[in-house]
Amino acid sequence: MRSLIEGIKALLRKQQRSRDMDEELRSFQEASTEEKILHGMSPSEAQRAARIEIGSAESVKHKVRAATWESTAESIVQDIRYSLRMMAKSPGFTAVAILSLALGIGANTAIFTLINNLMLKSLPVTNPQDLVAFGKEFGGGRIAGIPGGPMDLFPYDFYQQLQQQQTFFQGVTAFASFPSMVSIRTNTTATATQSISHLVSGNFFSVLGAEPLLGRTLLSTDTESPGRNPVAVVSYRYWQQTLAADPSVIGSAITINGQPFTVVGVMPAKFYGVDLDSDSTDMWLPLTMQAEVMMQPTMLAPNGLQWLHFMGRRKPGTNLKQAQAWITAQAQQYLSAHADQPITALDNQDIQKTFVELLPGESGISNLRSLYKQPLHILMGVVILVLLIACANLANFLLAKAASREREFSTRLALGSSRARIVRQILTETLLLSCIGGAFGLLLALWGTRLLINFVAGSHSALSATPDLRVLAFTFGLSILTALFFGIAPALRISRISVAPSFTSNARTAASSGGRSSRLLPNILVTAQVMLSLLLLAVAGLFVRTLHNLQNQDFGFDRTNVLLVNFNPKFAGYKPAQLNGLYDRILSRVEALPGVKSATVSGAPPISRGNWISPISIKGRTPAPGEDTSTLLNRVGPRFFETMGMPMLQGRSIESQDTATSPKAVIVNQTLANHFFPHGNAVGQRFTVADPSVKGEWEIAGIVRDAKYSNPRNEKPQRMAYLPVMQLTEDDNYAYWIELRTASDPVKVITAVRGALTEIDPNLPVLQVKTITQQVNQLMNQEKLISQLSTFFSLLALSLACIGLYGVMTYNVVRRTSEIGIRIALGAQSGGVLWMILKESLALLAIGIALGIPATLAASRAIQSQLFGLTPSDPLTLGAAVLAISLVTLIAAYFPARRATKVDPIIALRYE
Amino acid sequence: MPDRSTDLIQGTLEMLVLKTLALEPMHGYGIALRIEQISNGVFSVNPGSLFPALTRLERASRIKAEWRATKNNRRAKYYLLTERGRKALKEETQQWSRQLAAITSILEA
Repeated sequence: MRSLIEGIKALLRKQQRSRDMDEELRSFQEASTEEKILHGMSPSEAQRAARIEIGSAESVKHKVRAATWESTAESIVQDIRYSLRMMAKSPGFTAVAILSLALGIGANTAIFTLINNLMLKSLPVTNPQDLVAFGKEFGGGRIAGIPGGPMDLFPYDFYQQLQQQQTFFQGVTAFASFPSMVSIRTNTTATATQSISHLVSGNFFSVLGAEPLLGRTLLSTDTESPGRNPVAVVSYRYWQQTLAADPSVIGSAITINGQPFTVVGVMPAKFYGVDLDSDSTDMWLPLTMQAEVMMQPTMLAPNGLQWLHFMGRRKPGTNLKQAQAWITAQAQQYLSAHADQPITALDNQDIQKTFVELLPGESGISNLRSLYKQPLHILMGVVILVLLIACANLANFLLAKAASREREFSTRLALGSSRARIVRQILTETLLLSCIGGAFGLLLALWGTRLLINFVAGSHSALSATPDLRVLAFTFGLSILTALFFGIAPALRISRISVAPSFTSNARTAASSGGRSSRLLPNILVTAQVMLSLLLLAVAGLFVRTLHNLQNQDFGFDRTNVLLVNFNPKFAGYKPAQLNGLYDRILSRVEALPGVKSATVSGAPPISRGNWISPISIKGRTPAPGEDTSTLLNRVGPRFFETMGMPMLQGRSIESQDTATSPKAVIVNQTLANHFFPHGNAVGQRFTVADPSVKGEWEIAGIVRDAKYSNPRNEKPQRMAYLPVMQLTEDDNYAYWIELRTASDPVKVITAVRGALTEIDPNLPVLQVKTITQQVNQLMNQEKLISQLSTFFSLLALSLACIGLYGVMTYNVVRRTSEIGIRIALGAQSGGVLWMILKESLALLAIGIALGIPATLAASRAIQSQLFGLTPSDPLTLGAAVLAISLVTLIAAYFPARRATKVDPIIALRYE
Repeated sequence: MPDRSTDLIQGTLEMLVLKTLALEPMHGYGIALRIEQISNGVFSVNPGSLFPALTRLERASRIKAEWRATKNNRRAKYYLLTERGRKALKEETQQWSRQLAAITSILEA
């Protein structure tokens, strides 16, 4: 400690110390002189002897200074300043080196943070590792029947059954497998707003182990009986934004879907529930309030309707295999008890095949995760490759610089510097470069992570945008390692430099052309860059073409001039009896708007991720054993097909004549007609729908052309039946989407449509408005992400490789200046010189491509599942990539080669 | 001057300086002279080694320095042994004796 203080004092009083030292040395010299005179030397001899004894005063002072730590500190500062000056001298290279590092580090960190958050993030609860999920749990919905395979949706009474048995789990909680949007009114807001709610069982929070910030969480007593206990636990964000962070909100009332609820608790900011997806939950409501919250008939009856996900907390020391066997047995028992008695052999088979998988639940569930898992991992591979290319550039840069400074090092050695000092200076330079690059990389990481998360999950997700420290440390560490490694290589060479040879002229010439081996490492690096760039370009090309292929498919409906309006008559309090009248009013009003050619309503948009599926049974036809008769369903209004631009193939479309009182008609698609009626007599046939809410027999009135209904990647069309929404009852009578066919750009009519709807009923909430193009594009978000990012990174890699090649070639030419000068002086033509330099680049290019092609093929095979409409070894893409990199490389190599031809032999030889 | 100067190892020089200062405070030349005289010319300490050693000792708080007037009314920096230095001297002397005994017994074995 004292040494530290003394050292700082010494640094501050350098001049004073120097004077003191001088004075001390003088008195030493005088005392020495006197002593020698006493011993009999003459005064002049004595003086001389004393001076020799001391030696150089400067050297003594230097040794004194070196004895303490502050001189090391000083020299390090000196090194840093020198490094900065050297870096400023070649701004181009410095900028590229720093930029490459920054981009490599920033991009890696951003993508890995996203991956980490999406894939690995633990639920913010106590001991998340004890949580298990029952089944894979991505995708929600409600189904009935026997799964015949993995089961991850369960009925409510099964949950109640599990509460009795406590052998393996401390607790099992159930929650809805999909969020419910609800209409909220607080006493501070005049109009109703919509929020996302999640129906959960009473023990949800206790099983997860989450404590509230204010008030209390739900309790088991809250879900004792249906319809009672209208309580709500709100999220932190909702509390902040909508409830103004008012602490007295506990105990206050809010109206949910017209029903009064009491707010009993607020959760802390980091709690987001179990679902890590785009729109985070605003509030958690008791499962028993399901009918009120969903405004649908109860799903809590013991009728085997499977719609809940389960999670459990293991008892310590529980064997997971045993627990899994037990729960599977329980599920099978339940299914047997609820199947149609007597159980058929087929049903029994399916029951035996049903099982429940217990999976680690610590990261919760996420739809996004399953959608983006592959693309993100691929992107990570891409970004790592870019980082490698950036490191290679950095390495080349450092090697070139070090080699060009051999004279400087020889001079310094000759002047008395220690080799250690020079090595330290080189290392300082490289570390400085890494640190600056890393700092920029951090900024980029912060910005990039936010951007990425916004794209993937929207701005309201629970994904946090703080970059992962581990990854930051890793990428930082990697760049420092590269810097150190490639800084040490030349530093070690210095230890082998002897002072004299570099100064002689012959040595310069010899070194410049004979140093083949010293060019090996940069050449290897450039070849590697070429190879990796080729790989990245080809991969990016494949993704771009995949997206293109997906987008350019025939979707079966018009993708341009259609506007979609998402509204919710249920929230506005409309009863089923009032709906048909409402639809009439809306459609006639909206169709009268200028710019609107036709309009219709539907239960679901013409293409969307979620689907209504049900088996159907054709009248007069028995299904083959084990035949899957599931059909997609949608409920639509009159002129649906005309509005969507879907041509009718046979029969008629759904018209306004199809009212609640007229005979039940249905339109099916070509695939359905061909499947059930291969002889082409579908029109006039009848069928019933297994879903209990769709009653009666439906007569096929027309056949419409096939279209895409959910996943753009589905190449085989699915069976689809369109039911007239006017002819459905109760809950199925509700339509949530208005489709409008416009004369020109759909965006132009948005204001008019909103106005019209407000005129009809100001309480009718309009949840979103988008064009059909937006709707379709949203289904290809992952492809878009990966295509855009891989293109960006591959272009980045290409530029880095290009710059790298240019730098290495230029450096080579500069080193060979004397040799080139001699050749030209001896009569070499400029064409010959050009070729001499160029062929080196061409060799590198050729080797890079030769190595790159098999690597690319391997990589393409690895990403096969992501491609669409292409084979992995697509020759067009590969050829284009090879062409691109060849072109860029040639351009990058041409300029240094041209520079070589411009060498003036006189100037080159003069500086011998 | 002997033509083969024996270089003292860094640590031992410091120990000898401490011992020299144990007798009485001295300035730089005085220390060098004393060491040379007592060792009968075997060790001659040049300023290039002495002054760094003195600085190190000062940093370690084993000696402290003050400017005093010399016999000729000049200013010279005198060094004094501190309490810490005294203790350090004792320890290092003991350690040195142990090492010396060990080396001697090996050489005589």
